[in-house]
Amino acid sequence: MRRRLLVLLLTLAMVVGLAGASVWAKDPEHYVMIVFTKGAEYFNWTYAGMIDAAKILGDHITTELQGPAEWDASLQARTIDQVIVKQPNAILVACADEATLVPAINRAIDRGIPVITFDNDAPESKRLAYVGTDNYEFGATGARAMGELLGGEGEVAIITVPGAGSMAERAQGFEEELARLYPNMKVAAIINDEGDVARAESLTVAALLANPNIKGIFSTHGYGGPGAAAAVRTVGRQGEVVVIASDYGGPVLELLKTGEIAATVADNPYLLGFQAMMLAYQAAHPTDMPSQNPPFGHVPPLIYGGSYIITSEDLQDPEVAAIYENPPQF
Amino acid sequence: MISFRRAIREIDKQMVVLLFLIVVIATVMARRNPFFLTLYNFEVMAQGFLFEALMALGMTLVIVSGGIDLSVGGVFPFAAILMALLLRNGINHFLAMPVVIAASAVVGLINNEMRRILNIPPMIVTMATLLTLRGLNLAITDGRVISRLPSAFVELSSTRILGLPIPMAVYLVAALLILILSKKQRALLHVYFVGGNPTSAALSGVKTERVYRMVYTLSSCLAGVAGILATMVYNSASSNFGQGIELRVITAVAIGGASLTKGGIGSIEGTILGSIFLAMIYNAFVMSGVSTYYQDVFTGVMLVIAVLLRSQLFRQESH
Repeated sequence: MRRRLLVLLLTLAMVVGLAGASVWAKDPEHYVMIVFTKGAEYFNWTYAGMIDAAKILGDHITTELQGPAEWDASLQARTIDQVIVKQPNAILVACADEATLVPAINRAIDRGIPVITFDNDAPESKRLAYVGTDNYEFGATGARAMGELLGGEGEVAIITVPGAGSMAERAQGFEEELARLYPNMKVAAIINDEGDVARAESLTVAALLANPNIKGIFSTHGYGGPGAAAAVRTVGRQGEVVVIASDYGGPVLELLKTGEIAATVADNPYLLGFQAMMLAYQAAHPTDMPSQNPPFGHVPPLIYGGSYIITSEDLQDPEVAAIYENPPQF
Repeated sequence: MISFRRAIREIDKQMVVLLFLIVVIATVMARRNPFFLTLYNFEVMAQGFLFEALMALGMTLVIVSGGIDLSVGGVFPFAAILMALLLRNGINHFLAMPVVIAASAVVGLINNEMRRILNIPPMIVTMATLLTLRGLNLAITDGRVISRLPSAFVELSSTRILGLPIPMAVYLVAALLILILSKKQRALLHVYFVGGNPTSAALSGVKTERVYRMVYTLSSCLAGVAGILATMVYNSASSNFGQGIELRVITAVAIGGASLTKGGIGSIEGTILGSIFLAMIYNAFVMSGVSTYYQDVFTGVMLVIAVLLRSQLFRQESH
């Protein structure tokens, strides 16, 4: 009799324990980030942001980084389709172009998997939200730094690739912000280097020789800064011409340390990945309040990660330099 | 001299090994991942290697003839872009498709003529074509993706024939057709003859140049068809489509048992199995979440093993 009671009690304890465990522990959730040119430093920063955001949200969340090592939208679309089969709680996509991934993204949404795009959008897809960089503001940030470094006086040049796209928006933001804040400054030359460092150098040399009044150069992309710094060296005007670069690739970092590049404008890939993860979590957890994207949760359609300035002085601090010089690796 | 019968028996052995590997990987994956053995995943898996598989059919014949065709990696995006451009200019897709295939055929003819007239090895000729087309694709599109295609064409991407998506149906028809012809039809049997020993083939009255022209044109045409299907599947076309696709195609053919070093050896059924194998590998890597870097390491090692197996076989037979 006694033994039977004991067995009964033990069984009861087990049932309660199991039930309790399933109440306390959250169901595991899996989130997948799909990039192109996997292995690129930029996307490793975005994935580092995603991992940290997932840690904040809880131990029950696992993450995964997928995508082709090549810049090939068709390969990336296949990866999305293969990830859909695994039924993750949400997918975060940096799109290799704005059109090719649309059918695959829509298939995910139709199968009830929320999709958040970041860095590069696919606006015509059914994706729920986009986390990106405001390129106009990126250029404007560069203009404010240029104005400060030159004391609001002098002529400047822009290195860019004209046409549509992010570089044109950065150039426009730079020009308009400069005109708005510093009436005594003007853009004297726009140099089209076709995104090539050697062309950036030779064309900047020509511009500097043709116009000795140029006191500053802003590049809207990663290769223009090192090209401009080399040009300033060639004409022997180090210290007289201020170079402001974009992004923080290896050559830019080196020249920032020596001071040949005074500052660089950077967007924030870590924050893009972080925010995309947060939005993915929101989208995967609908609340009682009906959202704009049923059956998914509440997400704002657009978030900007912002742009900021890294100066030559910042990098003299070894701790700061170490952050940029030791990018995360996956 | 190589004993053809013995060689064919050895290919069968390689195919048995391949089949065994396919079953092993499928079993392991099914245990690890509940979604692996689903009908949906099989479709995704097939679609994920379909363009390569289609191009591998033509590549097999080129390789059996003793050559190689790297230019398919340029023809594939070129055909996709041409298709998208024709559609954007209001040309009906049923009219545009034969135009694109014809243009792809011309590329194959040019490959063959350069090989014949300039007497340059096929690897160099087709590599030059690959680079030229890749540059041309960039120049035509200015590096931008071409999209917003007419809805009548876009609807084809969700159309099914006997329950199969159009690209899969096209592959099945092409694979069956070429498989049967490669066993029965004289022109395709001559490919083996020419690849095995061009001199004796010519002496026995085989028009070798006609054989070469056929295989290079067919390879290019199939790459063109794959490009058209890509435009259909993605509703867009871009110069960045098909990065390194020529290597995946050649790997499928080599794993399927064709000899890259010696002509006359290889089979369509082997290539089909090789394609299934690689489709499964690429799918398994994404499914199990292992870094895709190791996917290339794995296929590279598989390629070396396949090639070694093949050349080892010949060393045994030559003495």
